[in-house]
Amino acid sequence: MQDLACKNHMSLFNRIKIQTPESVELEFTLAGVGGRAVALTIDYVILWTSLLLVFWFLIFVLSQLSQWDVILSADSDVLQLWAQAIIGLVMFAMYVGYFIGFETAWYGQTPGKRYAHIRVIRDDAQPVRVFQTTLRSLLRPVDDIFFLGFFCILLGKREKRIGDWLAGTLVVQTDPRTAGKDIAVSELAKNVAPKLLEEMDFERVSPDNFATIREYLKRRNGLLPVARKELSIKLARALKETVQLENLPVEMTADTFLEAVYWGYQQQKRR
Amino acid sequence: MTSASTLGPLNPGNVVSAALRLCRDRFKTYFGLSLVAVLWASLPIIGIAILAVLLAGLVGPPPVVWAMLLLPSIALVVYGWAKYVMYSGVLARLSFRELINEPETPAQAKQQLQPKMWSFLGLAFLLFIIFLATYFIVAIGGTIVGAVVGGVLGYILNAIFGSGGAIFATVISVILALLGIIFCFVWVFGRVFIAEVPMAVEARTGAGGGISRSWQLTKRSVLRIQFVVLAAFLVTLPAYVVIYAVALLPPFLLPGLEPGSSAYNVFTLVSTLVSMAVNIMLMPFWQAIKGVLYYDLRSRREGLDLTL
Repeated sequence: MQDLACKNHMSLFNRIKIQTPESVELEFTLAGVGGRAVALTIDYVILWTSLLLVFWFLIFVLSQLSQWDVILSADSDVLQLWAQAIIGLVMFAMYVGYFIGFETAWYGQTPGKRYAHIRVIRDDAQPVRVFQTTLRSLLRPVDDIFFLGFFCILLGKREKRIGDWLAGTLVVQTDPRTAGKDIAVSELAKNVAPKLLEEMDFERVSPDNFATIREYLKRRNGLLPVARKELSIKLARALKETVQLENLPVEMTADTFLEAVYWGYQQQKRR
Repeated sequence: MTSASTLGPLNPGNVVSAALRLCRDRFKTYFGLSLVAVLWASLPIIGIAILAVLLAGLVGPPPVVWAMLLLPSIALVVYGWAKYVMYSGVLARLSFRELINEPETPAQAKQQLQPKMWSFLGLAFLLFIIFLATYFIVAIGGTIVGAVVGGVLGYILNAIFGSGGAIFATVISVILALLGIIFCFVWVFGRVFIAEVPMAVEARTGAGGGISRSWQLTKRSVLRIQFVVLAAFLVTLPAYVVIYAVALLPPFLLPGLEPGSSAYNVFTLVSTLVSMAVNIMLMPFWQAIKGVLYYDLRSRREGLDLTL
């Protein structure tokens, strides 16, 4: 149990390094069984609901048609066979086409994969094309039988199901964290920032510190009010200590201080 | 990502992946705890049953003796249950501590939670009451609302389309009522899903506190919790298939199997043991899911992962 303490969290998820054709090394986090299970749940709910609706619709339409056997001058048995064939074909096309269509059009994503923040890519990190998505889709039933795909993903180092092996694809996580988006910095903080830049040693704010402040500002609206208040004060105090700032240039809330530091740090980097 | 050592909020898929990884990496530890828990829950009952059969068969004691044995037996069984829920709390606590990079040994965790053993049982009882109350309220409410909606809609559609309209209205209102009932259940389930984890992790939180903490943390996250539970269920599906295969297949394969025969008894024993073994394997996974979810919710709602 001794090795627990130094265990790094990133080992909770499998990572993979890929050499692209341009000899650039890229690192990805693999999707994981969980991410793929979430995506599959959503995709199958959407797919099977639409299959059911289409099935009912076709039954309805074709049963109406079968009353036209006089008009179509064909035997009703023959018509029924045709109807069955059409229904079967449409259903199969939908089952396969759902994954081929979405994964090709959305660069390796389906509605489920979008929600789960995962994406199919080729082994060399290129986006998937029709060829890969078709192979993956056609082998999906094989992977579903006896949970073959599940065990392959669970036990394999690169988390590939049989379809992935044949198509030469990987399923990786997309990074949902977008830098600096939708962070509101108040006018007050923007006005205070220049003063902080004068009085505060921004060199002491490490990139990690900055990332934490940015995370806080990004997520603060989702926090419980009490927790938000405590956390902002805690972060502001720790930050004041890090930068060895004795007194604030003007009276302000912890939130404003953090916003001003965030703003000032960016201004300083741009210089 | 603030630094390499903090995770922060996780998406539903990563909650499941992380729980699975924890269970695989700590398989022996978690499996051992789960085994002990299940034994605590089942051995007292099995032991008392055997004792009762032996007593009845050999001695045939007077009713007074039975009455005297009843109370200690109940106490023993309840004690076993308390141990079981306490151990499941230990499992959830261990996985949470891994995520905050302060891992504990099972002995350390047990030492912390042993004094709370009866609170864990109290929590289980409270949850039972909550689900029972939800069931009654939702079933009665759903029936009334369904009947009213169905009646009004049926009256209108009957006037427009005739009896076909009334049938359509009935079907629609029954479906809507069922969906409403399922929705309410799922919602309540999601809100109290992690109730034992705050109790297992936070020193001062008791049974009532666990439920209110769970309620507070899961607000806004009910849908994500549903995806976590669904994905976790999908991942455990192969294990459940094994249970059902073992339990249901042999009667088909051996048509001569009759209730009461010794082969039948052996088969019942084997399928019971298999389902018990699978449950022992799955219990740590579900507890790890709760532990990881608690970490995720506290990061999301309290910024647990944000430190300078």
